[in-house]
Amino acid sequence: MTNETILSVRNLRINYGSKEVLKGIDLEIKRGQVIGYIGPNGAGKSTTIKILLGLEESYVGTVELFGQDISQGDVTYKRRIGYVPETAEIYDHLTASEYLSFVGGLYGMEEEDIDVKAQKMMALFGLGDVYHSRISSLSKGMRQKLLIIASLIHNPDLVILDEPINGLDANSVTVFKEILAQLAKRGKTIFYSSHIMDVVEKISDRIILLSDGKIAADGSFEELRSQHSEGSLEEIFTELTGFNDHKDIAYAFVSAIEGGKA
Amino acid sequence: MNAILKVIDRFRWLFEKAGIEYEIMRKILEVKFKIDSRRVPTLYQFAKKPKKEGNYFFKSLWLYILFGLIATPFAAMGGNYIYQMTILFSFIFFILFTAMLADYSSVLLDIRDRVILHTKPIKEKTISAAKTVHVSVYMFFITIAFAAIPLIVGTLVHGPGFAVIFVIELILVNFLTVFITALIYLAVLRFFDGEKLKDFINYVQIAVTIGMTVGYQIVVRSFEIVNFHVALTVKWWHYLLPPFWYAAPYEWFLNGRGNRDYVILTILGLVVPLVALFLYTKSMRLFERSLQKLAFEGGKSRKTIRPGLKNAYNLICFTKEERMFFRFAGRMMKKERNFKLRVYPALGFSLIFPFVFLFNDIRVTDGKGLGGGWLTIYACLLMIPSVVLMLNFSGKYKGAWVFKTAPLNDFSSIFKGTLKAFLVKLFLPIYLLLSLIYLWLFGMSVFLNLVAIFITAVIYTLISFKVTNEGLPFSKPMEEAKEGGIKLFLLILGIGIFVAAHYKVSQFSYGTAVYTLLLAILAVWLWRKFMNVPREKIF
Repeated sequence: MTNETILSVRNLRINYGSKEVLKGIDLEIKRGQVIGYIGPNGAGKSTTIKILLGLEESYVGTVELFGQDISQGDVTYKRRIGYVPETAEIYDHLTASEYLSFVGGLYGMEEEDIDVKAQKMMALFGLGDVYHSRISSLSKGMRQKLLIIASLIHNPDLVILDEPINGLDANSVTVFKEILAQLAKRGKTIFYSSHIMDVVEKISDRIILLSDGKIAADGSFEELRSQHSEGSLEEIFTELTGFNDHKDIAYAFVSAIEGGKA
Repeated sequence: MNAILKVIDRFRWLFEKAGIEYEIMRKILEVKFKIDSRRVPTLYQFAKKPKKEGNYFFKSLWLYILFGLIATPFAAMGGNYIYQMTILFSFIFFILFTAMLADYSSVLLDIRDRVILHTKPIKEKTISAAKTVHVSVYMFFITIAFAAIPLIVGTLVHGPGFAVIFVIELILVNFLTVFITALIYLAVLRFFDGEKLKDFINYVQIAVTIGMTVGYQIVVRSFEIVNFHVALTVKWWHYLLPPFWYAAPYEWFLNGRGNRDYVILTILGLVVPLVALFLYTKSMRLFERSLQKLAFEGGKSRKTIRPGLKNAYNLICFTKEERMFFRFAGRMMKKERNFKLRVYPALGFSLIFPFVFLFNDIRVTDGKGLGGGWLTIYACLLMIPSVVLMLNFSGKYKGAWVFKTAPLNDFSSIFKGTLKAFLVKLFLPIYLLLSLIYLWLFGMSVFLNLVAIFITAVIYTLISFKVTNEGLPFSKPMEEAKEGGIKLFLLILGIGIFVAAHYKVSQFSYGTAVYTLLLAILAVWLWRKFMNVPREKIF
């Protein structure tokens, strides 16, 4: 059971117009892994996630989730996925309680079940008081916590997180990281996409670096360190993406602010 | 709205037969109706009464009831059904299609909740069905509001047979409107991509709007008045005009004229909506998939402003800030999809309405015209209030914070720039085109009158702005802009005052010249007065 393949991607390619966004990705993810999915802006991270969730269907190659080919039009695999979107899209005219009961309902949960779980999770995240408040009145951090709860309420086997800690304070981040670790221990698979390198470095069993539509590195943090520079993930990231002129760019940028005397 | 859901529950088997997850669809609808009921249209926001939940949509229905009342004589007339019911159904089609295109297309074409709904284990079909039912419920109420009085009066006059046919037909007409619209969009979604697609949707809307108006003219002209009796000889092209389909059954069943023409027309009226329904259910999944194309921002286009144009802007806007907002507002009007969806059909109207009035004028007076035929160009001003109202809204209203954080001393330049952009970029092209045609039709003698009417348009814009302004332009969510309410209605009636005044002064020598001068002074004065929006309205 522990060796069950959750996600399998073979030769995944996609074009937007004439631009090739993903240029052949191969991935195999086992149950219970915490995957850190990183890469520069525009490398194709969000596109990959969109494909996994069935939002983008014009790809070439095969994508299998829980052993099911997702291009066949059967959406039941989505029942086992939880998702925190990067853009905090939410029906903010609803109250937190209404929203959670709606989302839970879409996953086929029973009303009472949702309510019991939601109240507990909200209280633990310090949102007990705003359970019946309109989402539009919540702060950014509260909304983000609500999105996290909404992504987990149906007890998914695979959690896809796209910049999930946006707007969370340091204490909440600590709690959240611990939640992820415990979820993984119980056999949940976490797919974590982010630009915050030190968080990815700490939580991930395995880091996948996407650069220019291809996988540039794949392995645990220790493995990456032994293969590349002995520094932090951030340093490995800049090395692997071939980026070393940050000082020059910064200098030119500041000069541009002050009136273009480069 | 719970009552509505209960009614929909009765058709559960139908949805399930079509392969839709009914429970899920119901949940989506429940949430959508809840959201609708919590949205307070901005026009009501400053009302003294405490905010109450309740769907404001229902409060806007009285307008349709009023339209229905106006159309009622056609239901009440003696038994010349093919004439009177064709006219009545022309009204109904007109009302339903314009509501569908202007207000509810955005529901069908909505892709904002993709991230919320499509990531869940729901079939695309179900999401599509939820949208369709959502729209249909509103269309249904509009239909009831419009048709209630004609139905009651018609039944009293013509008996229960009238009621039976009318009710069945109303359902079919609703099907036809919603599904044909969806199928047209589907076709467009299949064949076009990216920006071109978005533009094309707007073109379709304008085309349908104009088509409806022209179609109505054809319908009316199909009848000849012979000895106070209205007669129709059925020609092949009558089969293409749906209002005839729905008038024919009355002749067949109530007047007993079951000839070949009426039978074919009746069958068309029954079969076409059902075929549309069938095609739509077959292609629902395709529809949702194709919508993804709307999300894709494709195509790099980089246009620099031509130097000549830049100089022209300097003539129109006197300060740098004003020019900046002029350009900004112009781009919003040209590029913001939600705005275009709402406004461009209205632009189509203003291009075609003057001619509708003009033709009627010529017809009524046996081709001689009243001499004041050029006054019909006023009809193109009718779009001004609703477009100026729409300037408050945007699909990307949250971006408006930049106005507030920018170090602006004088907010009036925002409004000046925006209104000038509306007048120059949306109104003027239409008005110039119409003016050229009117000059050709009526001769150079109406030139000064056309100038006066343009100045009137400026004044009318300013008044509309004063009445409908809700703060910064493009700063309110588009969804709140569902209905204009009584303010718009009064504004539209208000144009009559200008027409009457203009007609009166044009009877005197030099009357128009003096009138034009007075209008110009008024315009300048109002421009200075109305642009100073109080700060508390902005923040």
